[in-house]
Amino acid sequence: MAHQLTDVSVMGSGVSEPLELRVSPGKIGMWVFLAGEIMIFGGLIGCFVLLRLAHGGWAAEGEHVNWRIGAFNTLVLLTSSMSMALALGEARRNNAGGVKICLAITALLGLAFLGIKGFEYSREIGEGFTPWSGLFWNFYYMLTGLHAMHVAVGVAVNSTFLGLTARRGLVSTSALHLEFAGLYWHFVDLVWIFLFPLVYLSTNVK
Amino acid sequence: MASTNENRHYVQVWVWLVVLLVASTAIVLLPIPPAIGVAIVFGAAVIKALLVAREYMHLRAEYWLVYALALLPTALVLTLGVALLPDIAAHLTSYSVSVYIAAIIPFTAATLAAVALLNRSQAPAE
Repeated sequence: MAHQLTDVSVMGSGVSEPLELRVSPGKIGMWVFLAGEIMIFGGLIGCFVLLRLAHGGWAAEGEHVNWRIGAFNTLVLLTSSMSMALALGEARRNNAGGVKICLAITALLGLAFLGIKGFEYSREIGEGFTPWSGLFWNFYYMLTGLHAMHVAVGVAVNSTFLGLTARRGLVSTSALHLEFAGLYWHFVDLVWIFLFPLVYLSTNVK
Repeated sequence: MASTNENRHYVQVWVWLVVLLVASTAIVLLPIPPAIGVAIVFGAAVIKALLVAREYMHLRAEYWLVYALALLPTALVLTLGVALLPDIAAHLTSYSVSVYIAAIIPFTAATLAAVALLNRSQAPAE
């Protein structure tokens, strides 16, 4: 959808032409927000990589994380990304029932991710690997904890849209709002796509 | 119906993401030299990330401003990493010219990726 912002005069020509943005202002705002998120996670991941290069002992500490649980959680998030994309597709088809089913699946998979992550934390803390057990574990809990907080926010947002759709059905702006919520959810998935090999796999490659 | 095809496409992308996930986790079980294993694992992660960004976040057909908003912070994060590399090298060994040469690689890769993405970008349908 093209959004006509204002009229601007082309310098020297004396002709007034409409300035059009081929992207909605809301989407620009969403991407500015995501740009900030990229800086937060990118900075932390960059520090993790560089400090790991400087401290050889990290690989031994990282062997204690369970990559099988991490892989399963990755599958859960990837599937939730698909259901979120399908929710947008259903909204464009004006199918409220489809939107509700897809959003419910997305929210449930997000909750499943958090539940599995909680189980993983309790297992690791039970084995004595706490956030203050060393630099690796410090980064591990910080990165995955911050990510889990983002997943929790995403679950809340998706649940809100699910409730709104159930109560008043689809409205003219539903697809646009679902697209914004989807951008956030896919970004959360994208961060995990890098956290999984970084935290789980790279330390377990023999 | 266009949206039905769109939904089928989303499922196809998911299948590819799962295939890449299985391939990258299989590396852990195979007797592969760590350097090669890590390169494959992160290569698969980059491909998965590009698939999610292009197909699910619809960067395949976005306006240039959205690309700029996505690429600018990514470039800044890469700059942070490159700027800190010499300090890390000082911890590992003595300063070496090879570190600076190596630092050029992510910059070149990011620039080439940005140019490729911008060239592939197209205006969305009205």
